[in-house]
Amino acid sequence: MPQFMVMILENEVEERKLAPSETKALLEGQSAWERELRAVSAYLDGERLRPASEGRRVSRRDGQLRVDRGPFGERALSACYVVEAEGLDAAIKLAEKCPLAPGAELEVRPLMKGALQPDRANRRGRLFAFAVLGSAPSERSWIEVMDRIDESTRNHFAPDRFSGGVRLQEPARGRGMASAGGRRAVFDGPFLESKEVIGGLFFMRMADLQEAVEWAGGSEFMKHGTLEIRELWRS
Amino acid sequence: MEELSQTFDAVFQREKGRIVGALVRMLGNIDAAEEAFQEAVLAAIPTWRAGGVPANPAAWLTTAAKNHARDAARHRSIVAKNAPLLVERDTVTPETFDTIADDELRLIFTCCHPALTLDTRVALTLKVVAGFTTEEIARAFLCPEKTIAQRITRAKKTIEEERLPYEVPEGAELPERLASVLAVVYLMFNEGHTPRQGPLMRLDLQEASLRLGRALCDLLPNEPEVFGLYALMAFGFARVATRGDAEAGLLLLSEQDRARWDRPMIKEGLMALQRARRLGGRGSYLLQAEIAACHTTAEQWETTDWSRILGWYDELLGLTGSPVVALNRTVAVAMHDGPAEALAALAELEAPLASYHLFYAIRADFRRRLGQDAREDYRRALELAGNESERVFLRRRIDEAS
Repeated sequence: MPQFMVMILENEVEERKLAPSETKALLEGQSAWERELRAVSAYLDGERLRPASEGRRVSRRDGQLRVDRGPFGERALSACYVVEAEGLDAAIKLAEKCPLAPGAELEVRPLMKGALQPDRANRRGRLFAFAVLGSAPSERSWIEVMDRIDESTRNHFAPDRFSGGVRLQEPARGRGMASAGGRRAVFDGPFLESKEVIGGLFFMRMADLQEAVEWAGGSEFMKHGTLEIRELWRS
Repeated sequence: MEELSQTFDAVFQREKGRIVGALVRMLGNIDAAEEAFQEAVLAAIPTWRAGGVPANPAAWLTTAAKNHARDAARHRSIVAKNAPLLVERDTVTPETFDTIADDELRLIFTCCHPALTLDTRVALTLKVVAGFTTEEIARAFLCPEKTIAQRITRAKKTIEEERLPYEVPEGAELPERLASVLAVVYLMFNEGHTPRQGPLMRLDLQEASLRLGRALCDLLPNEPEVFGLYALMAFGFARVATRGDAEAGLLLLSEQDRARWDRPMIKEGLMALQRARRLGGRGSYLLQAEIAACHTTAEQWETTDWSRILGWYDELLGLTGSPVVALNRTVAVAMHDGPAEALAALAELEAPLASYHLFYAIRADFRRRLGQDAREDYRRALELAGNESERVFLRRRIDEAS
C-alpha cells in the first residue's frame, strides 16, 4: 500500500497563546488520533518536534556556511507521521481528523522512499530531525535532486546515529489543508507562500544541538539546499 | 567583560558533567578529571575572549582537557602507578555514541551512590555534574564554604576507599540506584523551589536540576520515573514568576496569577508526563506529576478537578505511606469535602509531623476557614519555618487574625 507523510505545520505564536487546559486537550486529542491510526493499522511512524525557536537552519550561500536560528517563518513543522493508505484521498481522510491548534496547517505528501525506524524513541541521546529544504522547477528536476541526494548520502550516516528517514515526492503530488475557525479547506500543492518545501526528513542521534549543526555543515546536503535541524520531543 | 564571563560560566556549567564523565574514564578518578576540566576552562577564557566562543564549546573543552590530562599523566606516570583507580584507564576504546552517553550516566550514578548521605550526594552532584563552585553550593545551602569543601573531599575519598563501582547499574540493582539519583535531583529542585532556609527561591538550583532531569530523560529514555520527575519539576518551574517575592511573601497556588504561568514550560511538563504514562509508570514521581498537572491545567483554583487530585493522592499515599503526602492530601480534602473533614483527617498526623511547619500552617488555614481561632497554629508554624517568604506569609496571616 502507498505510504504518505502527514506533516503538521503550526503557527507557534498562536500555539503559545493556548491556555494550559487547551494545550492539554490538544495533546490528548492528537494522541487519540494516533491511537485511531494504529487501530486501523495505518500508522507507521510519527514524531513531534520541539519549537522552531530552538532550531537551526544550516545552508551554504556563496561558499559560506550559514547558520540561522529559528523561528524561520510563520509556520513551523511541529509533527510528522508516516501513514499507509490506498491513495491520496484516503490519506487526506485519515489526516483531516487530526486536531489542530489555531492557525495550523496540514500537508499530506506521497513518499518516494523511506527507511523507517519506529523504535527510535527508545534510543539514548538527543534525537534530532533534519529536514531537507529546497525547491525544484519541475517534477523531473525534483526527481534528479532526490536521486543525487540518495547517491551522495548512501554511505553518509553512521549506523549508531541514523534513526530512519524518508524522501518525499514533489509537492505538486501532495495536498494541504488549512483550518480557520473550525472550518477546513483543502488545497493542492505546490503550497502557497512556500519557496522552500520539505523534500525529505531524517532522524539522527546527537550529543547536542552544536554537534548537530556541525554535522549538518559538513554534510553533503549543503550542496543541494538547506537543512533545518529540530530536536524531537520525547513523548 | 562581566557579561562575557557570565556567558562563559554558563557554558562551563552546562558542559561540565559530560566532559568530566569522559575524563574519568580516561584518567581513572574524579579529582584528576576535575583538574583537567579546570585547566581547560583556564585555557578557554583568554582564547574565547579573543576569538569568541567556538561553535562547539563542548568539543573544544574536551580536547583541551584531554591534552592537559595527557601532559599531566606523563609527568605523574610514576606516582600514578600507586594511585587508587576508579576504573582501569581506558584510552583504546573508540568513542562511540553510546560510550559517551555511558560516561555521563556513570558519573551521575557514582555521585549519587546510596553509600553517600543524601546531602553529600547533592553537594557532589552539584559540584562534579552540574558545574557549581564550592562557593555557590555553600551559598545555596547557607553553609560555610569550608564545610562543603570538606564534604566533597570526604565523598571522593569514600568513593575511592570503598571502591564504589564506576558503572551504570543494571538489572535488579537499577531501580534502587535510580531512585537514589532521582532523590538527589528532586532535593536539588526543592531546595531551589522552597529553600529550607533563606529566600523564596533559588533559580540557579532549579535550573540545574531541570537540566539534569532533562539529561536523564535522554540517557534513560525508557524509565517512567525519570520522565515523571522531569514533568513534576517543569510544572513547578512554570509557576516561578507568580510565587510572590521577598516583600509580598509567598503567594499560594490559589492566589497566583495563572495567566503569567510559563506556557511552554507547562507543555514541557505535559509532554514528559505523556511519555511517563506511555512507559507504563505508576511511581511516586509520576503520581505527583499527575497532581501537579491537574493544578497547572485548571483555569482557576476553584475549578480544579479535586476529586481527580484526591484519587491521585490516595494512590500516592498507598504507595509511600508518607505523612507529608497525607498532609498534602488534606488540602485536597478541604476543597472537595470542606475544611471540617480535612481538620478531622489531620488529627493522626500531628505526632509524626510535630516539627514540620506546614502541618501547623495547614491546620491554621482549616481552622481559619471554619471561623476558629488559628493564631496559635500560625505562631507554631512561624517558629518552625526557615524560608523568609513563608515567614512573611505567616506573619501576614497572624496580623489578619488578630
